[in-house]
Amino acid sequence: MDFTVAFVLTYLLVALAIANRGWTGLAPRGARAAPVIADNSHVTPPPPRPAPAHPPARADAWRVPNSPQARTRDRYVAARFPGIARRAADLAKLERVIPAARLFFEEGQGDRAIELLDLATEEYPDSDALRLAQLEIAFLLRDAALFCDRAREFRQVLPQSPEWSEIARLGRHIAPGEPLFGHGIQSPERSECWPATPNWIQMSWDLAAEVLAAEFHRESRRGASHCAEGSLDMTEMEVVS
Amino acid sequence: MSTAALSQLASLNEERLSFEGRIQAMEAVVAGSNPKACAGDFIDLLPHIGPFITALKRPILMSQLPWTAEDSVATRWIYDVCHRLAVVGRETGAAIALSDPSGRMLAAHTLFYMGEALKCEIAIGVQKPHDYAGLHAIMKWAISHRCECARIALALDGAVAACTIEGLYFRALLLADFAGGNLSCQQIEILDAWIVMWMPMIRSARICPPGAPRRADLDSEAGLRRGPRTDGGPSLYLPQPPIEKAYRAIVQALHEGQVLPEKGLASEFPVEEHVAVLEVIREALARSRGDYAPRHDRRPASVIVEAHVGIEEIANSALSTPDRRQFGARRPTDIIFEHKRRLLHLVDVSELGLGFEEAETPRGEITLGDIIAVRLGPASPVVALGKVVRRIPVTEQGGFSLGVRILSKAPQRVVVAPGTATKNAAAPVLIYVPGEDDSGRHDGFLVSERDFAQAGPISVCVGASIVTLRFNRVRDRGRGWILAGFEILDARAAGSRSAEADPGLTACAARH
Repeated sequence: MDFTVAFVLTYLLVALAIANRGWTGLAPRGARAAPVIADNSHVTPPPPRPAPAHPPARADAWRVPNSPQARTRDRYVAARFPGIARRAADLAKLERVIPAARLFFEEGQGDRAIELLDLATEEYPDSDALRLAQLEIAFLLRDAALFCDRAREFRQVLPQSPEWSEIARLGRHIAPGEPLFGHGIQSPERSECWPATPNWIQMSWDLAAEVLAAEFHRESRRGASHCAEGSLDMTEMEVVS
Repeated sequence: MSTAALSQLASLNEERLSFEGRIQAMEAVVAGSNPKACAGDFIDLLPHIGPFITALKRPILMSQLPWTAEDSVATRWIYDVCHRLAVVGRETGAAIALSDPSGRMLAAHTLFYMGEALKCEIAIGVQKPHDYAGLHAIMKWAISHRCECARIALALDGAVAACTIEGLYFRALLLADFAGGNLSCQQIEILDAWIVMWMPMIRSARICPPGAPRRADLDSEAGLRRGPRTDGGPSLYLPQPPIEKAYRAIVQALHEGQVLPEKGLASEFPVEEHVAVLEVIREALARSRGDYAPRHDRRPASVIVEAHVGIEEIANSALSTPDRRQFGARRPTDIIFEHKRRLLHLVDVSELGLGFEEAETPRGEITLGDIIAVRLGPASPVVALGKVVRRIPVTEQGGFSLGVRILSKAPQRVVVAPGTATKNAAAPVLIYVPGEDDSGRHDGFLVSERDFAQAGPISVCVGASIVTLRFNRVRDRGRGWILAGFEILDARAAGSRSAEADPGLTACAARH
């Protein structure tokens, strides 16, 4: 009888341990594999988050790993940008962050796109890809004040960047009187039409994705014979017995 | 219950009775011949009853468990006390001389209690009619004495807050506006804490600023409206820029890892609740920036419909063809497993939403953020899929009024090819939610949070094709579900060479 009880208890303990740690016993059950990420080797990975040399000022307290401020910031990032980042450090994944910002912009959530790139830039201030994407979105939003502000920051942080001439070209269009961008060569498009943008937001060059999406939509709707869409007509409603 | 808990309960009851006694005494004085005699007692009460109310609220709001009967009683008590105090304050204010130095404090305290009572309506239901005329009367009195912007220190939530009569007036109006069921009890406390923080910035304008700002019509019996007033009556408008500035300051603080306010009840709630309130404010600001667009017409209805809640239930019941044949009748499996249907009373309909009333159901409550689907009749092909965006009690017995924002009127269950699923043993349940645009750019998939987090590329069968896609963003989300945007990685005919190599895909296409 004692042996049976001991056996049952041991069995339960082992089962509990497996349930908590998974079959391999190597990783806790909650640990998840990183999401599949497309290869995007042309993007320069940003340098790691700079560690503060001195005790951080109140506004920089989040830079201290595992501080309450860092944890709050992580939770904010996860709640505000679900599916894009689970913590602030995930904002290093440029191949995910920049297209996500572009999609926000395309869906009319320009402020969210800017905020995502702001957060990522705060984490990785030396990343030129993040700053350039933000400049392009500010340009596409026709927000001259934001563009000038971010361009000034860019110049300050990355003064040797070869992209500056391109930024200045856009700047002369969006803020013609701004001395930061100089006078430059007046391009013929200056007064005629909106200039070409440099695609720092990694937009697809071809229309394959758009065509596939439209075909998918059409096929799905065609195949759904039992799910005809309609207006909410009160005459269709019947009382359930 | 332990001895300590019992003694704590007894102490709470004693304090409640003590406060009730003081309020009854004030009510008696107000009903008598000299109402202004209780002005001093009224003003002195807040530093005592304020912390007591916070102490009552804290365990209720911090608990993750469903509310108990004691919680409901406590909330009802808070409402009753605040409402009675607001009435006492108003009647005392009406009786005292206009030049009385206690007039400002009396007005400020009255407005504060009005706001407190309005917050409780999320838990106890809307207590109509609201005394908007009383609110406007206090503001008109303050304007006539040019004291609406004078700073008044009030002890709120353990700290002294710099308030103004104008700020407290708009606080009460905004809380009434947001207490319609689209914020939870925790979230309305966060919003209130922010309004108190912003109070020095809340300054109204007499002339309508650009856009569709909120306005208070001083000569009306209504709450906040939107857009410019057309009949020329006296109105106060809430300009957007100071509110936007305050909103940005809160966002910036969260970027720095700080929750605002740093102290008080609201600071103890999870960051996720703060983010949800920010989202509501962001939407409200966006509406105020744009041109005024009146709400879609609501048409009254009175039918009972069966509702399905949650992705699994929607996919297996609302969107499955056999279920449609059985609609309105109990299925044999229902009897075997004692499956009880969730019937809702549909009370109004618009192009964008549905309004329901729900009696307490045996299948658990429908809560804010749930995904819900209803078929609009046995013969109807239309399944309305929506998100619960408003929920408020309507009866003391536990009935609720629900507001559902329609996400789609043509959702479809999608066949997922075997072997392409997530790390879970079972294939994910996917519901295709087509957007309005024929380009497909607004389409999405309804998927559980777990499947969204674990999903890699997924192959689905569409007509004679097999399409491989990947989720790439969250369009909307609620309790346990995500409406995911996606990108298509590959599309091929079911009979193609690559598809034939995978028998699962071919079988899936054949089933479709």
